[in-house]
Amino acid sequence: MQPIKLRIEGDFWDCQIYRGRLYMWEMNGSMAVYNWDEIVNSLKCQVEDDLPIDCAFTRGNFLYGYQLRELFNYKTFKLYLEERFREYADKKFLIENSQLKNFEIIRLDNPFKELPTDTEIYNNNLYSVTDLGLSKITIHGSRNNYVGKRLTKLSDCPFISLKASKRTLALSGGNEGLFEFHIKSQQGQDAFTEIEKDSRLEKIENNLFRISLQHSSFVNWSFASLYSSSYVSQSFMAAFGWKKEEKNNDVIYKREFNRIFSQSQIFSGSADLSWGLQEKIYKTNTKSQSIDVIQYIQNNTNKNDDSSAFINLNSIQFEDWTGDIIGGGTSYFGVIIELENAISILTSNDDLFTIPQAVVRWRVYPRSKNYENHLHIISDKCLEIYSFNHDYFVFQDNKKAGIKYS
Amino acid sequence: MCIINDNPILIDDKEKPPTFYQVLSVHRRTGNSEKSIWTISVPDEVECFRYSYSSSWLEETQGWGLKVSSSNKLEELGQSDQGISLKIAKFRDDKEEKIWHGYPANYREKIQDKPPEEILTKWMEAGFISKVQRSRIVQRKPCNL
Repeated sequence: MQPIKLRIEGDFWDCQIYRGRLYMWEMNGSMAVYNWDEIVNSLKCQVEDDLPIDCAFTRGNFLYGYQLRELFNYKTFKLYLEERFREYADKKFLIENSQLKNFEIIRLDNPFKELPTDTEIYNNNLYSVTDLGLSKITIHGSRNNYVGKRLTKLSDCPFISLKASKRTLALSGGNEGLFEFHIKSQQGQDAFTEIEKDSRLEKIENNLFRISLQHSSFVNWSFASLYSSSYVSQSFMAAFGWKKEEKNNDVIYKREFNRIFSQSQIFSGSADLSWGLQEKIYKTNTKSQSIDVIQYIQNNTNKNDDSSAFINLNSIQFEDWTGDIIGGGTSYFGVIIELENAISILTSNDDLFTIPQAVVRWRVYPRSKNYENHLHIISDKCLEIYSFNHDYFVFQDNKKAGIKYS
Repeated sequence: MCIINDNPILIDDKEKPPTFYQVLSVHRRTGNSEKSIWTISVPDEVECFRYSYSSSWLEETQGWGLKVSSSNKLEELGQSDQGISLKIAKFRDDKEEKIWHGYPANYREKIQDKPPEEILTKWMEAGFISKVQRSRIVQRKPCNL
């Protein structure tokens, strides 16, 4: 099944989508916020469009819903849905640059001063890393406060990648290593971490900790753990776990550091690029032109037998290997492989979808509640939003390409 | 002109005040771990700096350089200690004495080896790098410049 595609014309640098709004950084130094729900509504012509277009672009988790699972046992329902998604994949949805203005909520000078190296939205805050450091600004306020007026500088370190979860920003710092920034609650307390007490981790600034000195190009979350990927040296897993504590008859779980696992402890063979997200870790294998797959079991990282934490799921053949590997990523719908002149997606239903162009930036949103089926690709003159809708029909326990929806 | 390694030489630009450039032998010897080395000739290294100076790619204490072919393509300047081809040069005037030295920059490995936004904007506007290449440099991704 092919993805449904929407093309939005413009000279963009980066994008984020969050709670019905599309955030775009433009090459001219401005940042604009668009009403995403209205953009999607403008694509509909008749009432029959509602279900496929909404599921594709604004309610990505709807068909994963527990109550709907029973309906998937009915062949006719399943066939109807598949047919609708196929039909809409053939359509060419386009928003021209002049049309885009109709959906603009606010336009402002890029609050981060520089074109961002990376961005992330978490809990109504927009975080950005640039050469100037790590900063945040509040977003998603009401009228007159769509984007906060005050930029808060969190650190001067020029990080190169960030991913947020568990009230923590995981940050790659290149040759400076892998870091975490802890987002304190309004009371200034963080009840969920033991890291401040861990002498193995270096406190850099108030809320900033160095997890490892090993080179880190980009990072992602594997439950409470961090998988750090490197373009120049071995990637590694910083394994964390949850420590149970009882306090005033309440049970709380605190995130605590366990240990570092190097790529060579996780994968056998060559030291090619690897990356992880949740229970899956992938490594490109240039020799066999395949992607090696490991299942990560966090609870087993503190056992004596390392191998029980990393289960080999064998490899996926990847026949579209043209040029160098530039990057990799994971979502529910599959594994994303960035090549010199293409983006390939090994889909969770064992298919291969290739976009034959070099891209400026691409993003997936597996942490989101409505956009987990999106792949955003910024190229020279547009943003293309690909919506993958095959994963609703895939048995989640057996997936090799893509993380499990649960 | 005879250029002796580690001795500052005068760089004369008609439209700018004179400055000095020093060819460092440490960036011309192999076997130095953590040091990238030039693979272009010494006169080409000096010319690379001169071109940066005249193009205003030097900031207060650091600057950036390219070797551009007649067909506007970027050429290799040097290699990393791992043997990776490098096409961007970094120049430094650490003591602010207008005596510069330089080395091939490895933006993928070293966080401080990425040219700043203003320089990348100039290179993109001049057609030396594309928007895709600029983004890959910023994200420290491999990039066939």
